[in-house]
Amino acid sequence: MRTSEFVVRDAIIPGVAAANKEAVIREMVGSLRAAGSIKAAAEEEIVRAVLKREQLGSTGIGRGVAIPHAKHPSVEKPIGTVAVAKAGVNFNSLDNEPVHIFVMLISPQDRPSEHLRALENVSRILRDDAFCRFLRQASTREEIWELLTEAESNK
Amino acid sequence: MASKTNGDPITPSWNGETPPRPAFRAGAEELVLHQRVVIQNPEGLHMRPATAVAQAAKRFNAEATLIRGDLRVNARSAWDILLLSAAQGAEIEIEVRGPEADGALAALVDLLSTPTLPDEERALPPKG
Repeated sequence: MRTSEFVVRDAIIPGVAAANKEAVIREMVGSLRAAGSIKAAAEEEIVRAVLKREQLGSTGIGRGVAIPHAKHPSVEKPIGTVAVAKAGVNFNSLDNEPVHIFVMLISPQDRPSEHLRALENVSRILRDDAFCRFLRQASTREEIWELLTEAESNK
Repeated sequence: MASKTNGDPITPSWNGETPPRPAFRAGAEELVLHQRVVIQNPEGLHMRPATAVAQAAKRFNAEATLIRGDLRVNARSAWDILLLSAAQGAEIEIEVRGPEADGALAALVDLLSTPTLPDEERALPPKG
């Protein structure tokens, strides 16, 4: 599953306002709700599910990237968003480095293969240091979207 | 442990009960081991097991590679492991080499062939 297939364009956050892990997660889930991709009634439960997953081990996978994620019955297909924090946020990452790029993924509970393919695609495009540099420099939602779709077309 | 059978087909080890393929000497100090496992986790090799595998691989003085079809990835990198997109039932070959290859192999076989990690029990269907 390509990143542009699950990332909700209108929920992309080019400049994260939040400065800590929980606040970033709340901001991203809130952005998905504001874009109409998750129901308002499910918002808090999804935030809690993502935070609970973080308690099992940080999704800060290193190199300034985190992939906060959870499964939730209210979504019918994997959805997500991308957020960029220019200053970096402490996410208890595996390499202890601050996180600048967040890719959130919310998946239905019964589609593990789609979840795996989405993670594969995120890993494939974000392992490119140059791409991550460009992403961190992007200042608008449109720029981030263009970078994502361009990166996928090059893979 | 089985005897030296360099060149023998890789022994299937679906349930983790079959001993690893016997070692052979690739160099004066290099021990190389192979073993195949089938992913048992119902959620596949998702981020938590990928991270657990990478962290385990880093604990040993050994080079560890996971192979799925034509794809070879560094087992010390969670980034790389996610590229395998290995769902339940996927067959993975583990290749380890180095002074602590045997310990690394045992740790990776254990993690890759286990149905769940701690805290994942609820992912399993109810018993009975």
